[in-house]
Amino acid sequence: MDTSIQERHLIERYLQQELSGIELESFNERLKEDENFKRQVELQKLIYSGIQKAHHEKLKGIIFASLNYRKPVVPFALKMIVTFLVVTGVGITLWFYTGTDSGNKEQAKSWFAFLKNVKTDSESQHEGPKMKPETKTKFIEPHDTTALADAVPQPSNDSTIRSNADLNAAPDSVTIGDKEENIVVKQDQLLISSTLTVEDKSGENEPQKDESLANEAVQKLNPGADLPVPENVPSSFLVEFWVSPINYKGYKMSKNKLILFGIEEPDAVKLYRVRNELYMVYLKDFYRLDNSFDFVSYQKLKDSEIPLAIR
Amino acid sequence: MKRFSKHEIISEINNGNEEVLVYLSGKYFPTARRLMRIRGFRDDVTPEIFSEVLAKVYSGLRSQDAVHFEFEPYFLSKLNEEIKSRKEGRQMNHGDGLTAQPEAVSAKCVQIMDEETQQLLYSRVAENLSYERIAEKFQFSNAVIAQYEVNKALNQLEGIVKLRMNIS
Repeated sequence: MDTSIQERHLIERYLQQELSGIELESFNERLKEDENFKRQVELQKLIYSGIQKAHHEKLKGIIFASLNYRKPVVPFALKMIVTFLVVTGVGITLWFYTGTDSGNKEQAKSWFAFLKNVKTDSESQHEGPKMKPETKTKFIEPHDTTALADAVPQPSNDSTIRSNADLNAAPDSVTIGDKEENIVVKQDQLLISSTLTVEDKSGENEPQKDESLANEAVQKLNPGADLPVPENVPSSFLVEFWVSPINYKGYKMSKNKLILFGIEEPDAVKLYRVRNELYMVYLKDFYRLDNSFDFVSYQKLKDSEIPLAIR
Repeated sequence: MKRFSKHEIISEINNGNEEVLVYLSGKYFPTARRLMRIRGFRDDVTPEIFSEVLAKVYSGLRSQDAVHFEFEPYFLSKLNEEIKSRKEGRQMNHGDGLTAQPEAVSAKCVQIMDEETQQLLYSRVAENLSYERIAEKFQFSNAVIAQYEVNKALNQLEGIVKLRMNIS
């Protein structure tokens, strides 16, 4: 049953504490006596507080919408971690790509290469117009030369001389940068690869015969006797003639391979063996060659040191 | 966004213009956020507390029909009060748990009513407008008609609440 206007008005005044005196006394009296009226007042109280709450929520909604606030999807702590990782990553990248001064291909091709180019331009402007910013030669240490020489594929053992056209086809220099600046990094170049026979100038045949007999005896007795087997000295060498952009002169010799740098006329090279020592003759100069894992410079022999057999 | 002078803020609140809330939000939210950051509140709770306080201030001023007051100090004192109470872990004017639940149901019942009826109920109960002003605002011919319409809306709400809460 709907509440009448008069009754609702009375309850409303009571809830707003507008009743007083006799009116309030009679209202309280009725509340005590009439259970239905009490329930009605409780319900009205609930309805009024509900309306106020709904109105409050509506106002809050208007304010919240005007703030246009969105709760962040990514938590603050995670943001901080990601920021830290990104900053660290960028720092490391910059350090490795622009921080060091040792130029190599990876660095020059990196995203930050333009920073280096800008730096080079500004330096060249300071140094004057004589500098050529287009070409930059990489200075290769003899150590680098070793590495490059080792990287060359091993040729077959036949005595065919390779013209090395295919090897020359391989770039002897690397060009970096295509538009603004051409940086040319020159590399070692293989001239020719050939097999050279070693001429034995030991002279005496008798000891050789004796040695061959001794070798035969060792072969027959081994492996039971466990005698030391004399090493076979190679009668020919695979010789590679290389040219270094820094005019390095030196050689490296392993078992039956010889790498020579700085020899401009490969045809003028001859190899001799005198008493197990290997000698190279090149343009009237005599050199002694020793086995070595690293590149060593040529040691020109004095006249007194040259064996008589090859003099 | 429309700007309001000090006097306009008072008059617009008294007139029930909710547009002034948007202006006040934009103006005082940065101050409130700074204040709450200093007190150690996270940014994600700031909008909730700010809107709670501003809605309370708006309703309070509207029901009091204030003529002269300084909005900023009043609002900031209310905000400080709310911050303090939240820090101490108690909620202001939220009543106890027993009454909070039926009140929320009653509020939900209001929200499902049509917009015009809601406005009528808010004007009379929440904003405490007289029937004369309600008649003027809703273009009823006189205060008696306004009272009749308000009573009709309240009866309608009463029916919904009874139904929802299984009250005979």
